[in-house]
Amino acid sequence: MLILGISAFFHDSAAALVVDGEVVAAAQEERFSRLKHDADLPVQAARFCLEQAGISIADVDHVVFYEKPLRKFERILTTHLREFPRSLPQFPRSFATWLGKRLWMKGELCQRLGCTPQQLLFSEHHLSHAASAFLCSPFDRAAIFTVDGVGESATTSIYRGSSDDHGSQIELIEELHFPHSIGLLYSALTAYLGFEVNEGEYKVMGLAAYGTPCYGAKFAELCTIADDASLTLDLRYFRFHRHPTRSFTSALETLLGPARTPTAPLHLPARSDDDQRFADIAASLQELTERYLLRLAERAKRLTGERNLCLAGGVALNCVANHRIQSEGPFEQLFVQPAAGDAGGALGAALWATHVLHRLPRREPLRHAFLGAAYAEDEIARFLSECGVKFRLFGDRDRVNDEVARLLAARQVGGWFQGRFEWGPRALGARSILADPRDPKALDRVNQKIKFREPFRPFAPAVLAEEAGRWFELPDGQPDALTPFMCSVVPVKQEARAQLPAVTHVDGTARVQTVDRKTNPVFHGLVEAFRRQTGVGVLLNTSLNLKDEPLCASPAEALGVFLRSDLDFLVLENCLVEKRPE
Amino acid sequence: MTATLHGLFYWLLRLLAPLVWRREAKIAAKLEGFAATEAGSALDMLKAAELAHDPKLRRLFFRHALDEARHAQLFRAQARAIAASAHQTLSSHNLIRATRQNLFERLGLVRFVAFVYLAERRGELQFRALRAHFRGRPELATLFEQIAKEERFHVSYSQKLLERWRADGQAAAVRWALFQVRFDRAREAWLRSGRVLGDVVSQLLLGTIYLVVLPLFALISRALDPTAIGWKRRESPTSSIDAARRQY
Repeated sequence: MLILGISAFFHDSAAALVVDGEVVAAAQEERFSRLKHDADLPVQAARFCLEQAGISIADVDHVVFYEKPLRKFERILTTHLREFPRSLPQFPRSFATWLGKRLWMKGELCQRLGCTPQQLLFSEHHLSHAASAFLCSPFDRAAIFTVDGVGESATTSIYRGSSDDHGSQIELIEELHFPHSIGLLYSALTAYLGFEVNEGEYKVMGLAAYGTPCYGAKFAELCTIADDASLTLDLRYFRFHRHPTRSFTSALETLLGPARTPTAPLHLPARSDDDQRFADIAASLQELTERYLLRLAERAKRLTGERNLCLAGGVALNCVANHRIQSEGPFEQLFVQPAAGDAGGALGAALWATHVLHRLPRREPLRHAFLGAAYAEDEIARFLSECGVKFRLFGDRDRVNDEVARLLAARQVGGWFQGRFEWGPRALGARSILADPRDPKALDRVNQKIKFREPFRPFAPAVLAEEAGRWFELPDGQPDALTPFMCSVVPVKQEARAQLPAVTHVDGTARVQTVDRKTNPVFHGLVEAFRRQTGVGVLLNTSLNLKDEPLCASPAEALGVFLRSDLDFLVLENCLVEKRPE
Repeated sequence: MTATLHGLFYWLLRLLAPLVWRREAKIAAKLEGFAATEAGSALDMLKAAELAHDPKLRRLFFRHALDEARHAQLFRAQARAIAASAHQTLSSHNLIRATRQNLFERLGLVRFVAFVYLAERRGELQFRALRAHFRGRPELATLFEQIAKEERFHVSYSQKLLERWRADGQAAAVRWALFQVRFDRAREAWLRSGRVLGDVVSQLLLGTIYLVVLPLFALISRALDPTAIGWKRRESPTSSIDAARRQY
């Protein structure tokens, strides 16, 4: 059974190929088009997935789109009608898009992907999210909740998932509908804080650590969280439902003070009252989100009675909240799929068709995220030498690891390009920028001279799984289902903070990635080599890209990042390129 | 004929420069725009270096990519300096939002090189005109001079490649590629203007529909279906293939 899942036309379009229940390939379109958050139909990503399996689109049993487009259209039309006449600014734009393209989705998919209408299936947005989490998880049964901006009309859903030898079931229990959405609240406040929606949410999370959640009373006016975990937004403060570009009203500025303009400087620790105000607002938003998700977890537990929880949707990328659900929530274990946002919908749609529609039994859970394209070492070496780039080719992996560990321990910062690139937004050791976490200057250097991003944003540590408990306060003292995918933020142990200044955020936490010998052997080898040389089995790990660019996919792109930034070296498989003064 | 056209284009650029490059903030924004274009071009040249089979071409494309990346950084640095002196703020630590157009894959080798040749020639002319315009400002005149010089190298190598292919019996292919690139450029400009016009017309039309047709339905909608608050229950999504074929 060959199923190709597709998500597209909102943000982070992606394709995923599932063959007899095994995830063979999955990639976001942005990795090929080089447009960050590319929303266009993932033609190149789909082509890559098919090539990876050595098949053509004609061989595929089903192409599954991750949502029901006409149901979404109905919600948009209804919203315009309800908001009449205030929806006038948005109506012509959104209808031009729908009439021009999206209403003819079947034709568009068939024409550009080369499939037939008979091959096409349509899942539901939140169902795809739910499937992406549950069917990748290590659980046979679980409660699932999905939380994002909005799908067709649902914004938050609670499901129950179960699997046996005869396939899987994902049963919808209840859902909240647009416009009442914690995801849209987070996005609107992201815009208020001067960051780009669908991009700046991470920055808000980083900013939150510098503030105190002292805006709780004012946030209580923005939204009400009932005892049953339903959420109601006060729409006087928002206009994402009726305006194409501005998602909040002047009432929000009256309540919280003037919004930050995107180009205004933001210094942290705060140098002005406004800097502190924005940090406090971010902290209050983060606190509200965590409180809401905890209450939602309690409701999901009450409704399903399950022991484990799967979480998906864009809000599931809030790693700080994930840790609180894991440590304070009513479930024994929590699983978040690495591409929990809309890209993950492609994987979910394909898995749903495989296990729920066709009732194939599930295979192994998703143990790693290396589902993208790889490049052979000889291909890379030929590329480098033909481009006239000087490099050292190492005969074996251990020697590369020792040399790279030596460079890192000497406080150099390098790019690391190995194997297939990652599925999801995080660099997990295939396309990474690495540095010594003991170096107090590494954070500023990587932020300002290499990634060219805001200085208040933290970097993540990658730690040997077997050594994680030494440095970080993990819920059970051991890696869980979240940490291999960098999906939770945990406290750094008090005594370790001074030793790991470059990866310890201002609030003493870190978004930790545990590196397992079995599932991530190449990267494990490097961190182990670093541990042998320094006694510290931890590296600073961030994505191999520049600001506003997607993660690198190919050697040429990695070389492009290397040459345009202050990186000291770049490792492409066993080839080491160094920047020397001459 | 070509030289005359170039001369005309050069003087047109000189004539327009005082209008386009008149305020400090505008200069900073234009330089940032150049930076984005050069960075996008760097990505395209890198891709070409990755995909080309001929080692000599790879090396040329790669060097070209490095030049473009450096141009992007030079433009960006100058944009920042000017913005700072004009008390404008460019986006903090924002590098460059580059867009790759996958030109090598789309156009094929000969047409790609023809594109590079024509684009670089136009760029070189433009930077020369700007160097002349900014002769009273050494930091900008030097910047444009330096970049124009490297653009001349790009024009030169792409021209030599085209000439070599001409001499190798591909004269018709080269002629056709140059024609296609020029034609595509004109066509894209035409389509762009058509899209702008089409957008305006469709916005007006849909705006009219909104004001004329929607009010009645808006009233009905509000009366029949008030905004939903709280948890909703509905049937679980059906797990039949027939239901999955539907878009609603």
